[in-house]
Amino acid sequence: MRPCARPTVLVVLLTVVLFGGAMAEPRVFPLRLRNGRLPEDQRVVRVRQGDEVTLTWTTDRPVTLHLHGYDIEEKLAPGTPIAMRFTARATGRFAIEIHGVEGPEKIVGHLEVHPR
Amino acid sequence: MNARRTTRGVVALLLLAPRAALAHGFGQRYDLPVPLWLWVTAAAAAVALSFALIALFVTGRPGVPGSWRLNLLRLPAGRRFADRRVRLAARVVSVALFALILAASLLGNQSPTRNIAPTAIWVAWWVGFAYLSALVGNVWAVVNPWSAIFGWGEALLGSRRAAVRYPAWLAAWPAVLLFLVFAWVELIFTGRSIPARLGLLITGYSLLTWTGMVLFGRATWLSYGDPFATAFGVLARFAPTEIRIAGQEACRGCARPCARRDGTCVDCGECFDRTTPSRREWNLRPFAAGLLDTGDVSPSMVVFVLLLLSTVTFDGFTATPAWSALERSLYAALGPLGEARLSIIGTLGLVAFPLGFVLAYLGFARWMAWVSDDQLATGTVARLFVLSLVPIAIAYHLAHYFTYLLIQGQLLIRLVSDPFGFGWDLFGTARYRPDIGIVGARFVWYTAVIAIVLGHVVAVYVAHVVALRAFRDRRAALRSQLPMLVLMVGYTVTSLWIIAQPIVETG
Repeated sequence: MRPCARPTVLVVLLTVVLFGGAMAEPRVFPLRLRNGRLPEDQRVVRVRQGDEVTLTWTTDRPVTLHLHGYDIEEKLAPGTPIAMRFTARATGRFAIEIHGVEGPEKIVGHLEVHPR
Repeated sequence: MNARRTTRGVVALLLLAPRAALAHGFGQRYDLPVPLWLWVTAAAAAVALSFALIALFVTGRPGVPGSWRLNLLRLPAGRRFADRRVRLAARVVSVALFALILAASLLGNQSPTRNIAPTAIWVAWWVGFAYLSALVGNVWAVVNPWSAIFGWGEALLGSRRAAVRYPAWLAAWPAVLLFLVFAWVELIFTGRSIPARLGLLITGYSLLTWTGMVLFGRATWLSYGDPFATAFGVLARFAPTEIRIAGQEACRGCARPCARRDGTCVDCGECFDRTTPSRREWNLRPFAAGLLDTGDVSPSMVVFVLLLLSTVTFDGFTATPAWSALERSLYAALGPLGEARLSIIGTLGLVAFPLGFVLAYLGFARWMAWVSDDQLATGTVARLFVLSLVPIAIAYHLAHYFTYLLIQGQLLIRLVSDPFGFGWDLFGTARYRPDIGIVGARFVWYTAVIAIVLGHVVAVYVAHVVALRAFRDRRAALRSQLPMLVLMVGYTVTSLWIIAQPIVETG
């Protein structure tokens, strides 16, 4: 158990109490990487605080993805969809970084968690 | 999140952090852009409040804040806190931390997030001391480890007279030049988050500082040559505390032009140490009162203040999509220059931004002189009003670094247990992970916007008070403030615009 677990639970509880009016929603985003890049309309994933988010990734080449902040890393291979599942408890704009492709463009998109 | 994935994530973060480094010093930012409606509301509020203030100055003469003071040395608690032993203890701690950071940077693990040096330098020291200076007082002047070590050296070896007389024409230009070099390291240099590079830079800076102190004397070098003493000193003029001595006997031979017309000397540590304790004051004062003292602002200080403001704005601007687009088109155009292109583009921007600020400011100073019938020369106007821009800069700084300090600052909780990155766990906090949800976006937005609008109001107020003191007649003083207001609204709206932009990260 990490030492910050209790304050985190408190923050989550407080958030639920304060913003409980709108219930958390499950949100699923299919994201297709082509040549290590996302299509223009998939580069910003917008959700609201508290949402249960699933990012379902497919790719045409092996890459490693890293969602900053929430700090989730997944290895992707062609043909196998991989899901990143998490509760969007913290607001902010979090970069999604790619490794294993050539070129200067390492940030494939952003996750934006907006307050309720 | 399951434990294995968490561990993998942490490892990935540690390995990848240097490549994900952003424009400023080091680390990541997760700010959500301020929504459009809030940006428009804030900009409108800044304009409306400006006119309300003008009305106040046109119809009457509002009280001048600089007049209220409370001497903390009259209170027993204040005396205890300002005791020599307390100051000595603070310096010992500061020198110990300095030694730790230097040792860690040179000898420790070279991963930017496992070594304490990058976080301690960029987050705790540079951003943290800017906050402290502006909101508390000139703490850096008390705990500056280079100054403390040099002072101890003098105490051991006997203090000698400065080897060389500081040339008057040099003024604060060395501090200007060194601050530009520092800004380049902070914003452009790719090695800024690599501990050993930082260690070498600290070593170089130490040699330079001590050489300057030996050549010209400690106080002289800190006043004119040292970029950090100068920067924190400028920010601390906004702070609600000051040191002051009654009478100016102690000011004879002082390195700075600190003696004021009213027979006191403010915020000069050298004179403060030299004078008898009964003449010393450590005052609470209203925020921004120190910005009304414009007597010691030289042309080089005008440039220094504008450089300080412009580099903070540049830092924000380089994270916007607008800069990103500019960078991309220049990157394509400068093909033959190869790998160094990004650094070259950044360096050009870093030089162009302050130049633009200085030229624009001088243009506005000329306009102000002109509308007030040239009662004062343009250069005089420029020196009088430059400090009144500082509240806007401080407010923008607070807004810009708020979440950065709160989230990246948490790394220190982990790093104090393992400062060298050798796998120690001195205080049982080595496994702490930063809580990214420590403050919500809404709270950050409101704090940022309120800070910037308030900073704007204070700036307009300070400029009006300075104008009423400086100009012979009231009408000219008030007329001079119209151009100033245009400049300030422009600066405030630009600052708000930057925090309303999505942050772009370049990998």
